[in-house]
Amino acid sequence: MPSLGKILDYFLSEKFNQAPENKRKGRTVVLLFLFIIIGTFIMWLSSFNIETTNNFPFGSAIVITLILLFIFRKTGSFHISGHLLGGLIFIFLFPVCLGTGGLYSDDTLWLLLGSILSFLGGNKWTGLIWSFITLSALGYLFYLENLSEESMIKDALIFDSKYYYFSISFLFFMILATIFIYENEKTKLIKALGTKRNELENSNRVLEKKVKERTHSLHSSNLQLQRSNADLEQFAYAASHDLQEPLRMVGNFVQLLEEEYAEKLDNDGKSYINFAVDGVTRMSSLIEDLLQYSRVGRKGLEVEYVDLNDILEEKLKNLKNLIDSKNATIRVDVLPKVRCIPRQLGIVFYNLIHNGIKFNNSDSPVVRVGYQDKGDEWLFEISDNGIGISQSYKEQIFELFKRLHAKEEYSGTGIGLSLCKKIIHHHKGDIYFESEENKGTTFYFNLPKKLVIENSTSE
Amino acid sequence: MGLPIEILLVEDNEGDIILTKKAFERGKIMNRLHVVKNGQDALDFLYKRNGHEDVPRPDLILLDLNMPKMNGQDVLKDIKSNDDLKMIPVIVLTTSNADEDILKSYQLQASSYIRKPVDFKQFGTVIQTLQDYWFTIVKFPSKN
Repeated sequence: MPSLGKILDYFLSEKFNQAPENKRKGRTVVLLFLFIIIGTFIMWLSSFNIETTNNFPFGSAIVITLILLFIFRKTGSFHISGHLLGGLIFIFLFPVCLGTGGLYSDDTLWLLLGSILSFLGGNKWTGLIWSFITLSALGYLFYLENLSEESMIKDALIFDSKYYYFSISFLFFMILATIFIYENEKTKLIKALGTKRNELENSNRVLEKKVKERTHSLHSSNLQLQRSNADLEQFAYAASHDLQEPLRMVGNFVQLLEEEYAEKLDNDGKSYINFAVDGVTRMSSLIEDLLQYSRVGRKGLEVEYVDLNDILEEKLKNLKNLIDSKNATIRVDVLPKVRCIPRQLGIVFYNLIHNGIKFNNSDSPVVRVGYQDKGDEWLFEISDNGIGISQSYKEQIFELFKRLHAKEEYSGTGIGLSLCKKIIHHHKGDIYFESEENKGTTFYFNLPKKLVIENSTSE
Repeated sequence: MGLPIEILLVEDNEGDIILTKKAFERGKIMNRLHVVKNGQDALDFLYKRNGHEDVPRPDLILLDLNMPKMNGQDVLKDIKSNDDLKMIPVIVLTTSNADEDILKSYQLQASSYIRKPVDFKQFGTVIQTLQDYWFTIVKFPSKN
C-alpha cells in the first residue's frame, strides 16, 4: 500500500502545514473517511473469510505494510504520531484476525505483534490501552471458544464481537486522530511561536548592537568635538594675540609718520593716514573682542561670590563718557551677591547697558537694571527706551558678527551679544529679550544660585 | 631732580622699542632707557653679569611678556623671588587683557600693566601718566 504511505506523508509534510486552514480541515476529513472506508472494506473482506475458512493473505499484507510504516517512522522518512500508528495497526489488524479464523488462526500472532508495535510506535499509554483492548479481545475469544460447540451460535457471536471491537477501535481511532491533529497544530504553533521568538530575539540583538554602535560613535564624536573646541579656542587665542602685533606696528608708525612728517604731508595725505588709523583701530577692537569671545570657556577664571553692585559701579565708570555724551540715565536696583566669574558677568552688564544707550535715539536715554529672585536662580533684566529689535531677529541677534545696522549708523564689532550669550551659557543660564520697536528692549538672563563651573576646557 | 631715572626696557620687538623710546623722549622727566632684547639679558643686566657689569640699577622695569628663550613670566618670577630686586617696580607690557589673566593665574604680581597700544597718541598719554604717577606722586621704594 504505497499510496497510504504517500497520503500519510502528505498529511505530515510542510506542504500540508502551509495549506490554508479550511483546506487542511477538508483534507483531514477526507483522510478519516479514507480510513473508515478502508477499514470497513477490510472488515467486509474478513467477514467473507468466516465462510471461506482458509487463511487469507490480506492480514499478513496489511500487517507488513503497517510494520513498514512503523519502520519509516523510526527511520525518519516521515513522522507519524505514535497514537495514530497504534490506532492504524489495531484498526486494520483486529478485524483481520477475527475474520481469518479466530483464536486458533496463525493471525492471532499478528494481533500480539500489533500490540507490541503499538507499544513501540506509540507512547506507553497508547501501547497499554491497545494491549488492554487486545487482551480483552483475546479473553473474549477464549470465552466464546468455550461457550458453545455450536458453530452457528459461535459464528454469530464472533460476527457480533467483530462489530463490537470494530466500533471500539474505530472510536478509539477517532480520538487518536483528533489527538494527532491537535498535536500537529500544537507543534506547528509552538514552532511558529519559536520562530517568532527567535525573530524577536534576533531583532533585539540587532537593536542592541546598533544602540551600542551609536553610543560608541556618539561618545567618540563628543570627544572629537571637545578636542576641536579646545583646539579652536587655542587657535583663536593664538591668532588674535599674534594678529595684534603687526596691527600695532601699522597703527603706531602711521601715526608717528603723521606727527613727525606733518609738514611734508598735505591734507589728502593726512586724511589717508586717518583712514589707516581708523581701520587699524577697528580691526584691533575686533580682534580684542574675538579674543574675549574665544576665552570664555578657558580655565583659570574661578567662580567667586561677589557683590554685583561693585561690578556695576566699576562698569558704569567705564561707561561714563558714553553716558555723558548721550545724556543718559542709568537706574540700577540694589543688586544681590551672586556666584559668577566676576569679570565675565561684568562684560555682560557692560555690553547690555552699552547697547541700551547706543541703540537709543531718545533725547534722554534711560537704562534700568533690575532683578527677580526666582528661588533656585536669579533673573536679571536690563531694559531701555531705545529703538527696539524686531522679534524676527530674536536668534540672529546673538550670532557672531551679526549686525542689524550699518556701522556708520551704529558702530561696533557685532560680537557684543554673542559674547554675552556665550558667557551666560557658560554660567549655565540663558539670555533672551522682549522688545517693541521704537519703544524699547528688555534683555533677560538667568543665573543659577548654586553655580559650579568645572574647568573642562584645556589650556 | 638732578639724576636721570634709569629705566630698563625688556622687549624683543624693534618697533615697540622705537615707540617706547619716542614716548619717553616726549616725557617731561629726564630718563635713561636701557634696552635688552630677551629675558636672559634682562637678568644679566639686573645681576650685573656677562658684560653688564657697569650698568646702573634700574628704577623701573618695563617688561614684555612674549619673548624668545626666556619669556617675561620667568623674568618676573626671578625678580620677585630675589629680595633685593623685588623692590624694583615692574610694569608688564601686554598685548591683550588675556595676558593679564594668564599672569594673574600664575600668581605673579606685577606692579602694573600697560596695554601695548594700537594708537600711538594713546600710548604717549599712558607713558606720560605713568611717569607722573611713578616719579612724582609716588616716591617709589628705591633702595630700602
